[in-house]
Amino acid sequence: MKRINIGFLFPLAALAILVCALSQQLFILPPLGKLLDPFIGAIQNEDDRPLQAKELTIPARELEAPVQVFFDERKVPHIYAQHTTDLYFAQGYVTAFFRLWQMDFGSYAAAGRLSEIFAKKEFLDYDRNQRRLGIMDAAQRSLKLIMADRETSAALNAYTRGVNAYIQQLDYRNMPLEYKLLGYQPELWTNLKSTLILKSMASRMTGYEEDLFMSKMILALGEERFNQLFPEYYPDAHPVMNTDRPAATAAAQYAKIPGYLNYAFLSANSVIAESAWNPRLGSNSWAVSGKMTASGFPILANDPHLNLSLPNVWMEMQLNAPGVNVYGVTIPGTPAIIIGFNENIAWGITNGADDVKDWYKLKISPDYRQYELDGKWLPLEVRRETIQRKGQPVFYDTVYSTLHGPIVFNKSFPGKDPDMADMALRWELHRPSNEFLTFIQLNKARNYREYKAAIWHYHCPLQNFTFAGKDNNIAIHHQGSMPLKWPGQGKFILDGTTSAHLYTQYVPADSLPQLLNPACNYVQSANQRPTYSNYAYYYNGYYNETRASRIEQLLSAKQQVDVDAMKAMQLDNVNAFTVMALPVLLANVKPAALSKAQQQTLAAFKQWNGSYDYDNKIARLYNLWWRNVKNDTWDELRNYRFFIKSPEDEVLLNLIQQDTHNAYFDRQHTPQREDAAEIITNAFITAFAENEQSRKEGRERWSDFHKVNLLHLTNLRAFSKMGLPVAGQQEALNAISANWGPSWRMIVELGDRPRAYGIYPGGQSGNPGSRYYDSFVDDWNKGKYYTLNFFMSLKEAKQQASGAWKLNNR
Amino acid sequence: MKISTRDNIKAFLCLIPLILLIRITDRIPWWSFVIGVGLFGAATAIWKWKVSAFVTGFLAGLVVWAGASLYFHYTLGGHVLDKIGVLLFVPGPVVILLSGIIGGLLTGLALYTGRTAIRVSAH
Repeated sequence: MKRINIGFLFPLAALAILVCALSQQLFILPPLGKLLDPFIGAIQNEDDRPLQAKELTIPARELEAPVQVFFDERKVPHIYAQHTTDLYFAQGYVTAFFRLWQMDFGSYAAAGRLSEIFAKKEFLDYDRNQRRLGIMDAAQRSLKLIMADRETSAALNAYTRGVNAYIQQLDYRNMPLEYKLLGYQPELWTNLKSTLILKSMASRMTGYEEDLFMSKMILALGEERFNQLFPEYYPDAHPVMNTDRPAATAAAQYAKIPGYLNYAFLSANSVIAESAWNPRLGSNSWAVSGKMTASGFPILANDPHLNLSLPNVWMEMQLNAPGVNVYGVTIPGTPAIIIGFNENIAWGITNGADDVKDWYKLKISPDYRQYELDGKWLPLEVRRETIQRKGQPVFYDTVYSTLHGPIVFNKSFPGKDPDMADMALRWELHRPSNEFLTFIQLNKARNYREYKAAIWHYHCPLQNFTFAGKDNNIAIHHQGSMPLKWPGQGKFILDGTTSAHLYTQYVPADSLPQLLNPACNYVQSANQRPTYSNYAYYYNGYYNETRASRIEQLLSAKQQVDVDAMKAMQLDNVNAFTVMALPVLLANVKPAALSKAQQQTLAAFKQWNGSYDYDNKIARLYNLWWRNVKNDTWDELRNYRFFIKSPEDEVLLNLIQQDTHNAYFDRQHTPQREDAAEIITNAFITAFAENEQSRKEGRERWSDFHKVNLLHLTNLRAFSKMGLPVAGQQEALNAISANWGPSWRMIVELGDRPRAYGIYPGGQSGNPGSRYYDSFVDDWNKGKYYTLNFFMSLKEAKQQASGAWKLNNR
Repeated sequence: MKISTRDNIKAFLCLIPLILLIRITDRIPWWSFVIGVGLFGAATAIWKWKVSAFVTGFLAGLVVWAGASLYFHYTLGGHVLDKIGVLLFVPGPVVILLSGIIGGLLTGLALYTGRTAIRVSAH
């Protein structure tokens, strides 16, 4: 006789509790049951079979005709479509296959939605900040403009449909690993998400600011000293537009304390938050005319320096449809190729580094409903942001805006710096623009005229576009919306109570800094100033001259170049500033104050060419030495509580050469008065002692100290590559620092068929379980390049591909 | 009840294909195999198999989950195990063991639950 035993309810309850516990995140632990389930869990993310298949047919909907996707050995997709919309559909599908989580996460981060994924409070602060900056608002307004353009909207709609076709095929087993770990699911892609990715990039390029620091600095130092320490121009600069060099520079750009700017206007003595962005890090790009290449065809080189992450910010692909055959890198989440080449042209991009982010000090009524402008009280605009939070109640944030832009910080969200409260932000990123169109048109541009027409649509952020055409035209454009400002406008905090401080006009497109086929036969940009000081319009920004100076040195010294010379330049580890500064330091150091060992080390410097090579044993000592010289010289400035940055290195070097007894060389807290020679000698002795200590610990080579981290976007160490020893230095052309560097190295020689080489630190797949996740990293670190397989025809693609997919209507 | 080694082996050998069959079926919740195992546990009671339910279930679950993890790892040839190991602060191979233990616990508990649900009297 059989009976039901009530006692089974106890193990049943235990089983139910166990299943529940293993199905969801518990504290820091991921949903272990699902994650470690061998049939659907993490182990299934090792599945690279679709990429290794010789032939795979993928059912898709909404295609006008079948699309073929060929893969080469490195798993670069070469997409062949018969219609343009199918091309972008397939680009969306294929990109999602490789990088879905990365692009989705990027859209969450840009929109200020990370609290939906992570429960920690700092993500709520991040989201509030992001929303108050107005990124989402800006993306929504730009999208309206984008959708009004037929060509862009067709491309974007198709791309979105392609991404969603992939998402809709997903089940838990083949879902990207990060979703499994963090316990959420991909949502459908939208055009807004693509626009958010673009705005996020613009934010990254233009997010740096030092308006408040500069305002306080000019008040603290006075005009004369401020202009001495923070000049707008340097005499030895090599700007993007290097024609019409003026006889004198600095005097023409003397910054004056604006009439409204005083301590009552700013509340002084507060601490300014440091930005993660380092304006000394940037990108290189140059194009050399066929008149000075061995082949007779122009060569273009570009290596954008960005945050080095895993997955990499770029993904390589070739797009082919009637009227377009282009190869290069795309940003996952956006259609078209961003940096690349086709049969006729090649183009590169570096950050313009202009200041297009300005703050306005407002006068707001006590009830926080109105603000004053030109003597009238205007109502503050109010919007309510709804922030969904994982496992917690919804958070509502009220954001106020004025005619200038959003008020990012106020009493309810003070940020890190109380002095930034109640200021309105005016940022070029807020203006609607359609940068997608630039890339869509660049992809199919056939000559200089079409290239110029394409970049005309580019507004934010200001970028240096470098161009080379098969017909031997080379050009460079400092392209984007460059506001018409009066001298000093935007360098300091502006007065929000007068509309005279609001700029409404922009430098006409034809007057933007640009060069076409210069007499020197090359153009170059490396985040330096776009012009000499005699440019007709005022602008300011966060420029760097060192790499541009090195490019100039190398290109101007050559009669003829080839692809190998371009590779050597991209991998050049010489810091041009070090080359200038070292003889000055050596000339000023006092040998009598040094021990014999120190003198011997000093002698070794005379043999050093300033190259931060992997095995170099002296580079680190120089870095310590120069750091100490800087710290000891600018110790007065460090006393300011608002101090965030020293004057540029060029200013200090000039001071050592021109004015060795300048008061800044006198160290505070010492009874005697030091001069430059004493500072330099003491700095060397201290650096030597520090270096000796490391040497005794067995660390002596530059690569023992210079390491790069490729961090996963969640900062999970398990999915990152940490502490890779590398050559290069942040101001060398091979500008690698802890987590920044050449995110894509590309060299293209145009001709009857383009010959191109490239590499990025990552791998095509965004899946940490895939063998293609970080497959390029070691080669990138060794300075290798891959030949980029640019197929001129479908036949070539078929013959040379190692695998293929066919996207077919179901 | 005296445990029969033969019945244990029989149950073990039945459980392995049973779990595999249910787990390779897509689009059902990952934990649904415990229902099948529970029902099988009830059946062993009805069939009067003298099995040590938890231990037999645990061993079967462990073998299937750890074995499948090992199989997929070697056939797919990827790198995820070491990375998950870093996340969980254990070496990569221990992740396979952890997977086996989870499979074992669920199967053991499910078999025991099913087995306990049915009481068969001597008459």
